Amino acid sequence: MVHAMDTRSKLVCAAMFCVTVLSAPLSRLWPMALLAVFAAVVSAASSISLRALVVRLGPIAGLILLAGLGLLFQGPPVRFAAMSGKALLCGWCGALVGATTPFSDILAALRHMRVPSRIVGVTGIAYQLVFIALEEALRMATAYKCRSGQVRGMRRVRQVLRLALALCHRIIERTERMERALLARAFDGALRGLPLPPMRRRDMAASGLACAALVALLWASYA
Amino acid sequence: MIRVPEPGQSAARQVVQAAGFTALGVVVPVFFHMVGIGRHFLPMHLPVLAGGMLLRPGYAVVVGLVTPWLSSALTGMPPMPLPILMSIELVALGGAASLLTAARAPVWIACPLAVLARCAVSWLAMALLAVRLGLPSSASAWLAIVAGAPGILLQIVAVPVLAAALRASRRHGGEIA
Repeated sequence: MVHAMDTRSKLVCAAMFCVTVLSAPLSRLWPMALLAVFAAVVSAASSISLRALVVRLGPIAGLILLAGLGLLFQGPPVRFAAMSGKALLCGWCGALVGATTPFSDILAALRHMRVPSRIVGVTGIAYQLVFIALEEALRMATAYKCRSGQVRGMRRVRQVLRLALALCHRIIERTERMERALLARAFDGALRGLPLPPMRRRDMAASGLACAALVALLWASYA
Repeated sequence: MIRVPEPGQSAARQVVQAAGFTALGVVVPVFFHMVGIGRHFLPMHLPVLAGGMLLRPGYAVVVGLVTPWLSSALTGMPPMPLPILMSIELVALGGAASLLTAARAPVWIACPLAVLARCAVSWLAMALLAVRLGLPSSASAWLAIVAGAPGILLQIVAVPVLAAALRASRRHGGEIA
Protein backbone atom coordinates (compact mmCIF):
# COMPACT_ATOMS: atom_id res chain seq x y z
CA MET A 1 0.00 0.00 0.00
CA VAL A 2 2.77 2.43 0.94
CA HIS A 3 4.79 1.45 -2.15
CA ALA A 4 1.92 2.58 -4.40
CA MET A 5 1.50 5.95 -2.71
CA ASP A 6 2.55 9.10 -4.56
CA THR A 7 6.16 10.03 -3.74
CA ARG A 8 5.26 13.68 -3.06
CA SER A 9 2.70 12.57 -0.54
CA LYS A 10 5.27 10.27 1.13
CA LEU A 11 7.85 13.06 1.30
CA VAL A 12 5.38 15.51 2.87
CA CYS A 13 4.31 12.91 5.47
CA ALA A 14 7.94 11.97 6.24
CA ALA A 15 8.95 15.63 6.67
CA MET A 16 5.95 16.27 8.92
CA PHE A 17 6.72 13.14 10.96
CA CYS A 18 10.34 14.24 11.50
CA VAL A 19 9.27 17.78 12.46
CA THR A 20 6.77 16.34 14.98
CA VAL A 21 9.35 13.94 16.44
CA LEU A 22 11.98 16.66 16.80
CA SER A 23 9.52 19.21 18.23
CA ALA A 24 7.95 16.86 20.80
CA PRO A 25 8.85 17.79 24.41
CA LEU A 26 11.86 15.99 25.90
CA SER A 27 10.27 15.54 29.31
CA ARG A 28 7.27 13.46 28.13
CA LEU A 29 7.76 10.05 26.62
CA TRP A 30 4.13 9.23 25.68
CA PRO A 31 4.15 11.32 22.44
CA MET A 32 7.26 9.39 21.39
CA ALA A 33 5.53 6.10 22.15
CA LEU A 34 2.53 7.14 20.03
CA LEU A 35 4.82 8.21 17.20
CA ALA A 36 6.57 4.82 17.39
CA VAL A 37 3.16 3.12 17.11
CA PHE A 38 2.41 5.33 14.08
CA ALA A 39 5.71 4.27 12.46
CA ALA A 40 5.02 0.62 13.27
CA VAL A 41 1.56 0.79 11.67
CA VAL A 42 2.99 2.36 8.50
CA SER A 43 5.75 -0.31 8.45
CA ALA A 44 3.13 -3.06 8.71
CA ALA A 45 1.08 -1.44 5.94
CA SER A 46 4.15 -1.27 3.70
CA SER A 47 4.64 -5.09 3.98
CA ILE A 48 8.38 -4.72 4.60
CA SER A 49 9.66 -7.74 6.48
CA LEU A 50 10.78 -7.15 10.06
CA ARG A 51 14.18 -8.59 9.20
CA ALA A 52 14.73 -6.11 6.36
CA LEU A 53 13.79 -3.26 8.67
CA VAL A 54 16.13 -4.49 11.42
CA VAL A 55 18.97 -4.85 8.89
CA ARG A 56 18.43 -1.23 7.79
CA LEU A 57 17.95 0.18 11.28
CA GLY A 58 20.59 -1.85 13.16
CA PRO A 59 23.67 0.15 12.13
CA ILE A 60 21.76 3.43 12.53
CA ALA A 61 20.72 2.45 16.08
CA GLY A 62 24.34 1.65 16.96
CA LEU A 63 25.52 5.03 15.67
CA ILE A 64 22.72 6.86 17.51
CA LEU A 65 23.60 5.19 20.81
CA LEU A 66 27.29 6.02 20.31
CA ALA A 67 26.53 9.65 19.41
CA GLY A 68 24.23 10.06 22.41
CA LEU A 69 26.57 8.57 25.01
CA GLY A 70 27.79 12.04 25.96
CA LEU A 71 24.25 13.02 27.01
CA LEU A 72 24.09 10.02 29.35
CA PHE A 73 26.91 11.46 31.44
CA GLN A 74 25.69 15.08 31.32
CA GLY A 75 22.18 14.76 32.68
CA PRO A 76 19.24 12.54 33.60
CA PRO A 77 18.90 9.26 31.64
CA VAL A 78 15.44 10.33 30.42
CA ARG A 79 17.08 13.03 28.27
CA PHE A 80 19.39 10.43 26.69
CA ALA A 81 16.40 8.12 26.10
CA ALA A 82 14.33 10.92 24.55
CA MET A 83 17.10 12.12 22.22
CA SER A 84 18.04 8.57 21.16
CA GLY A 85 14.35 7.79 20.63
CA LYS A 86 13.90 10.89 18.48
CA ALA A 87 16.95 10.05 16.34
CA LEU A 88 15.84 6.42 16.00
CA LEU A 89 12.30 7.40 14.95
CA CYS A 90 13.66 9.78 12.30
CA GLY A 91 16.02 7.02 11.12
CA TRP A 92 13.07 4.61 10.99
CA CYS A 93 11.09 7.10 8.89
CA GLY A 94 14.05 7.55 6.52
CA ALA A 95 14.50 3.78 6.22
CA LEU A 96 10.79 3.36 5.39
CA VAL A 97 10.89 6.04 2.68
CA GLY A 98 14.11 4.56 1.30
CA ALA A 99 12.70 1.03 1.26
CA THR A 100 9.45 1.95 -0.46
CA THR A 101 10.61 4.60 -2.96
CA PRO A 102 13.22 4.49 -5.74
CA PHE A 103 15.70 7.39 -5.52
CA SER A 104 14.82 8.54 -9.06
CA ASP A 105 11.19 8.98 -7.92
CA ILE A 106 12.34 11.07 -4.94
CA LEU A 107 14.35 13.33 -7.28
CA ALA A 108 11.39 13.67 -9.66
CA ALA A 109 9.11 14.55 -6.75
CA LEU A 110 11.59 17.13 -5.42
CA ARG A 111 11.80 18.68 -8.90
CA HIS A 112 8.02 18.80 -9.09
CA MET A 113 7.85 20.39 -5.62
CA ARG A 114 9.92 23.32 -6.96
CA VAL A 115 13.09 22.49 -5.03
CA PRO A 116 15.81 24.52 -6.85
CA SER A 117 17.11 22.60 -9.87
CA ARG A 118 20.68 23.17 -8.69
CA ILE A 119 20.03 21.19 -5.49
CA VAL A 120 18.18 18.40 -7.32
CA GLY A 121 20.86 18.18 -10.03
CA VAL A 122 23.76 18.02 -7.57
CA THR A 123 21.92 15.45 -5.40
CA GLY A 124 21.10 13.25 -8.39
CA ILE A 125 24.65 13.14 -9.74
CA ALA A 126 26.14 12.85 -6.24
CA TYR A 127 23.96 9.80 -5.50
CA GLN A 128 25.47 8.02 -8.51
CA LEU A 129 29.00 9.20 -7.69
CA VAL A 130 28.79 7.97 -4.07
CA PHE A 131 28.75 4.33 -5.19
CA ILE A 132 31.56 4.91 -7.70
CA ALA A 133 33.62 6.64 -4.98
CA LEU A 134 32.93 3.88 -2.49
CA GLU A 135 33.99 1.20 -4.96
CA GLU A 136 37.14 3.16 -5.83
CA ALA A 137 37.93 3.72 -2.13
CA LEU A 138 37.54 0.02 -1.31
CA ARG A 139 39.84 -0.88 -4.23
CA MET A 140 42.42 1.62 -3.00
CA ALA A 141 42.15 0.39 0.60
CA THR A 142 42.72 -3.20 -0.55
CA ALA A 143 45.74 -2.11 -2.60
CA TYR A 144 47.20 -0.21 0.41
CA LYS A 145 46.60 -3.25 2.61
CA CYS A 146 48.35 -5.56 0.14
CA ARG A 147 51.35 -3.24 -0.08
CA SER A 148 51.80 -2.38 3.59
CA GLY A 149 50.03 -5.16 5.48
CA GLN A 150 47.99 -4.54 8.62
CA VAL A 151 49.17 -1.27 10.21
CA ARG A 152 48.05 0.31 13.48
CA GLY A 153 48.19 3.62 15.37
CA MET A 154 49.57 6.71 13.67
CA ARG A 155 50.56 4.79 10.52
CA ARG A 156 46.92 3.77 10.07
CA VAL A 157 45.81 7.40 10.51
CA ARG A 158 48.42 8.52 7.96
CA GLN A 159 47.22 5.80 5.58
CA VAL A 160 43.60 6.98 5.85
CA LEU A 161 44.60 10.61 5.22
CA ARG A 162 46.64 9.60 2.17
CA LEU A 163 43.73 7.50 0.91
CA ALA A 164 41.30 10.43 1.33
CA LEU A 165 43.61 12.76 -0.63
CA ALA A 166 44.13 10.23 -3.45
CA LEU A 167 40.38 9.58 -3.57
CA CYS A 168 39.75 13.32 -3.93
CA HIS A 169 42.05 13.46 -6.98
CA ARG A 170 40.49 10.41 -8.57
CA ILE A 171 36.92 11.62 -8.13
CA ILE A 172 37.76 15.06 -9.52
CA GLU A 173 39.40 13.37 -12.53
CA ARG A 174 36.25 11.32 -13.00
CA THR A 175 34.01 14.39 -12.77
CA GLU A 176 36.07 16.01 -15.54
CA ARG A 177 35.39 13.01 -17.77
CA MET A 178 31.73 13.16 -16.78
CA GLU A 179 31.57 16.87 -17.57
CA ARG A 180 32.85 16.25 -21.11
CA ALA A 181 30.27 13.49 -21.58
CA LEU A 182 27.48 15.77 -20.34
CA LEU A 183 28.62 18.67 -22.56
CA ALA A 184 28.59 16.31 -25.54
CA ARG A 185 24.93 15.62 -24.70
CA ALA A 186 24.10 19.38 -24.57
CA PHE A 187 23.73 19.42 -20.77
CA ASP A 188 23.01 22.98 -19.58
CA GLY A 189 23.20 22.51 -15.81
CA ALA A 190 19.68 21.22 -15.09
CA LEU A 191 18.56 17.60 -15.02
CA ARG A 192 15.23 17.15 -16.74
CA GLY A 193 12.55 14.49 -16.49
CA LEU A 194 9.03 13.81 -17.62
CA PRO A 195 6.34 15.83 -15.80
CA LEU A 196 4.61 13.94 -13.00
CA PRO A 197 0.88 13.23 -13.18
CA PRO A 198 -1.29 15.22 -10.73
CA MET A 199 -1.67 13.71 -7.25
CA ARG A 200 -4.58 11.32 -6.81
CA ARG A 201 -7.32 12.27 -4.36
CA ARG A 202 -6.62 9.13 -2.34
CA ASP A 203 -2.97 10.17 -1.82
CA MET A 204 -3.94 13.75 -0.99
CA ALA A 205 -6.47 12.53 1.57
CA ALA A 206 -3.98 10.08 3.14
CA SER A 207 -1.25 12.68 3.47
CA GLY A 208 -3.71 15.31 4.76
CA LEU A 209 -5.04 12.91 7.37
CA ALA A 210 -1.55 11.86 8.49
CA CYS A 211 -0.37 15.49 8.76
CA ALA A 212 -3.51 16.48 10.72
CA ALA A 213 -2.98 13.56 13.14
CA LEU A 214 0.67 14.55 13.66
CA VAL A 215 -0.20 18.22 14.28
CA ALA A 216 -2.89 17.15 16.77
CA LEU A 217 -0.41 14.91 18.57
CA LEU A 218 2.13 17.73 18.79
CA TRP A 219 -0.52 20.13 20.11
CA ALA A 220 -1.67 17.57 22.70
CA SER A 221 1.91 16.92 23.83
CA TYR A 222 2.34 20.60 24.77
CA ALA A 223 -1.18 21.07 26.18
CA MET B 1 26.04 28.63 -35.26
CA ILE B 2 25.72 26.58 -32.09
CA ARG B 3 28.25 27.68 -29.46
CA VAL B 4 29.46 24.81 -27.33
CA PRO B 5 30.94 26.01 -24.01
CA GLU B 6 34.53 25.08 -23.33
CA PRO B 7 35.07 22.51 -20.58
CA GLY B 8 35.83 24.42 -17.38
CA GLN B 9 33.57 27.42 -18.09
CA SER B 10 30.30 25.55 -18.18
CA ALA B 11 27.49 25.06 -15.67
CA ALA B 12 28.07 21.34 -16.29
CA ARG B 13 31.48 21.58 -14.62
CA GLN B 14 30.05 23.35 -11.59
CA VAL B 15 27.21 20.84 -11.19
CA VAL B 16 29.40 17.78 -11.72
CA GLN B 17 32.21 19.00 -9.47
CA ALA B 18 29.71 19.99 -6.77
CA ALA B 19 28.29 16.47 -7.03
CA GLY B 20 31.84 15.05 -6.81
CA PHE B 21 32.61 16.98 -3.62
CA THR B 22 29.23 15.95 -2.18
CA ALA B 23 29.98 12.29 -2.92
CA LEU B 24 33.40 12.68 -1.28
CA GLY B 25 31.67 14.25 1.72
CA VAL B 26 29.70 11.02 2.08
CA VAL B 27 32.49 8.51 1.43
CA VAL B 28 35.51 10.08 3.19
CA PRO B 29 33.85 10.13 6.67
CA VAL B 30 33.10 6.39 6.36
CA PHE B 31 36.84 5.66 6.24
CA PHE B 32 37.65 8.05 9.08
CA HIS B 33 34.95 6.51 11.26
CA MET B 34 36.25 3.01 10.47
CA VAL B 35 39.54 3.98 12.15
CA GLY B 36 37.71 5.77 14.96
CA ILE B 37 39.07 9.27 14.26
CA GLY B 38 35.96 10.70 12.62
CA ARG B 39 34.75 12.82 15.51
CA HIS B 40 38.01 14.69 15.99
CA PHE B 41 39.10 15.13 12.35
CA LEU B 42 35.74 16.44 11.01
CA PRO B 43 36.11 14.50 7.74
CA MET B 44 32.91 15.80 6.14
CA HIS B 45 34.27 19.34 6.32
CA LEU B 46 37.32 18.56 4.14
CA PRO B 47 35.51 18.04 0.78
CA VAL B 48 33.08 20.88 1.52
CA LEU B 49 35.94 23.31 2.20
CA ALA B 50 37.83 22.09 -0.88
CA GLY B 51 34.61 22.56 -2.88
CA GLY B 52 34.28 26.08 -1.49
CA MET B 53 37.78 26.87 -2.80
CA LEU B 54 36.97 25.69 -6.33
CA LEU B 55 33.27 26.29 -6.94
CA ARG B 56 31.09 29.37 -7.36
CA PRO B 57 29.32 30.48 -4.12
CA GLY B 58 25.91 29.14 -5.18
CA TYR B 59 27.27 25.64 -5.82
CA ALA B 60 29.54 25.68 -2.74
CA VAL B 61 26.48 26.42 -0.59
CA VAL B 62 24.58 23.55 -2.26
CA VAL B 63 27.46 21.16 -1.45
CA GLY B 64 27.34 22.22 2.21
CA LEU B 65 23.57 21.91 2.32
CA VAL B 66 23.19 18.54 0.59
CA THR B 67 26.19 16.58 1.99
CA PRO B 68 24.96 15.94 5.59
CA TRP B 69 21.44 14.98 4.43
CA LEU B 70 22.68 12.61 1.72
CA SER B 71 25.17 11.08 4.15
CA SER B 72 22.48 10.69 6.80
CA ALA B 73 20.14 9.05 4.27
CA LEU B 74 22.74 6.66 2.85
CA THR B 75 24.96 5.77 5.81
CA GLY B 76 22.93 6.85 8.88
CA MET B 77 25.74 9.27 9.84
CA PRO B 78 25.16 11.85 11.24
CA PRO B 79 21.93 10.72 12.98
CA MET B 80 19.03 13.18 13.31
CA PRO B 81 18.88 16.01 14.40
CA LEU B 82 22.59 16.53 13.64
CA PRO B 83 22.14 16.96 9.84
CA ILE B 84 20.20 20.16 10.56
CA LEU B 85 23.09 21.59 12.59
CA MET B 86 25.73 20.29 10.21
CA SER B 87 24.04 21.65 7.10
CA ILE B 88 23.97 25.11 8.72
CA GLU B 89 27.68 25.02 9.60
CA LEU B 90 28.73 23.44 6.29
CA VAL B 91 26.78 26.06 4.33
CA ALA B 92 28.72 28.70 6.31
CA LEU B 93 32.03 26.90 5.65
CA GLY B 94 31.52 26.36 1.91
CA GLY B 95 29.89 29.74 1.35
CA ALA B 96 32.57 31.70 3.23
CA ALA B 97 35.40 29.84 1.45
CA SER B 98 33.82 30.43 -1.94
CA LEU B 99 33.06 34.11 -1.31
CA LEU B 100 36.60 34.75 -0.07
CA THR B 101 38.06 32.92 -3.07
CA ALA B 102 35.78 34.89 -5.40
CA ALA B 103 37.08 38.09 -3.70
CA ARG B 104 40.58 36.92 -4.76
CA ALA B 105 41.81 36.28 -1.23
CA PRO B 106 44.87 33.97 -1.23
CA VAL B 107 44.07 30.34 -0.41
CA TRP B 108 46.20 30.45 2.75
CA ILE B 109 44.08 33.30 4.11
CA ALA B 110 40.69 32.24 2.74
CA CYS B 111 40.92 28.80 4.31
CA PRO B 112 41.49 29.83 7.98
CA LEU B 113 38.92 32.64 7.64
CA ALA B 114 36.31 30.22 6.31
CA VAL B 115 37.07 27.82 9.17
CA LEU B 116 36.74 30.72 11.61
CA ALA B 117 33.34 31.66 10.15
CA ARG B 118 32.25 28.03 10.45
CA CYS B 119 33.39 27.92 14.09
CA ALA B 120 31.35 31.05 14.88
CA VAL B 121 28.21 29.60 13.27
CA SER B 122 28.85 26.25 14.93
CA TRP B 123 29.25 27.91 18.36
CA LEU B 124 25.94 29.74 17.94
CA ALA B 125 24.06 26.64 16.72
CA MET B 126 25.46 24.44 19.49
CA ALA B 127 24.61 27.04 22.13
CA LEU B 128 20.99 27.14 20.88
CA LEU B 129 20.78 23.32 20.85
CA ALA B 130 22.24 23.15 24.37
CA VAL B 131 19.56 25.56 25.60
CA ARG B 132 16.90 23.26 24.04
CA LEU B 133 18.47 20.21 25.75
CA GLY B 134 18.89 22.00 29.07
CA LEU B 135 22.70 21.81 29.04
CA PRO B 136 25.08 24.67 29.97
CA SER B 137 25.06 26.47 26.62
CA SER B 138 28.48 28.17 26.54
CA ALA B 139 30.40 25.15 27.85
CA SER B 140 28.71 22.75 25.41
CA ALA B 141 29.40 25.05 22.46
CA TRP B 142 33.11 25.42 23.35
CA LEU B 143 33.39 21.68 23.95
CA ALA B 144 32.03 20.96 20.46
CA ILE B 145 34.60 23.29 18.88
CA VAL B 146 37.55 22.09 20.95
CA ALA B 147 36.70 18.42 20.21
CA GLY B 148 37.22 19.18 16.51
CA ALA B 149 40.55 21.01 16.98
CA PRO B 150 42.65 18.33 15.16
CA GLY B 151 40.19 18.55 12.27
CA ILE B 152 40.51 22.34 12.13
CA LEU B 153 44.29 21.99 11.97
CA LEU B 154 43.99 19.38 9.22
CA GLN B 155 41.65 21.64 7.23
CA ILE B 156 44.00 24.60 7.48
CA VAL B 157 47.01 22.52 6.40
CA ALA B 158 45.62 20.00 3.89
CA VAL B 159 42.84 21.83 2.05
CA PRO B 160 44.94 24.72 0.65
CA VAL B 161 47.43 22.16 -0.69
CA LEU B 162 44.63 20.12 -2.26
CA ALA B 163 42.91 23.21 -3.69
CA ALA B 164 46.18 24.51 -5.14
CA ALA B 165 46.87 21.09 -6.73
CA LEU B 166 43.37 20.91 -8.22
CA ARG B 167 43.58 24.48 -9.54
CA ALA B 168 46.96 23.78 -11.12
CA SER B 169 45.54 20.65 -12.72
CA ARG B 170 42.69 22.75 -14.17
CA ARG B 171 45.20 25.10 -15.78
CA HIS B 172 47.02 22.14 -17.34
CA GLY B 173 43.95 20.66 -19.00
CA GLY B 174 42.66 18.46 -16.20
CA GLU B 175 45.79 16.30 -15.75
CA ILE B 176 46.47 15.70 -12.07
CA ALA B 177 50.06 14.90 -11.19
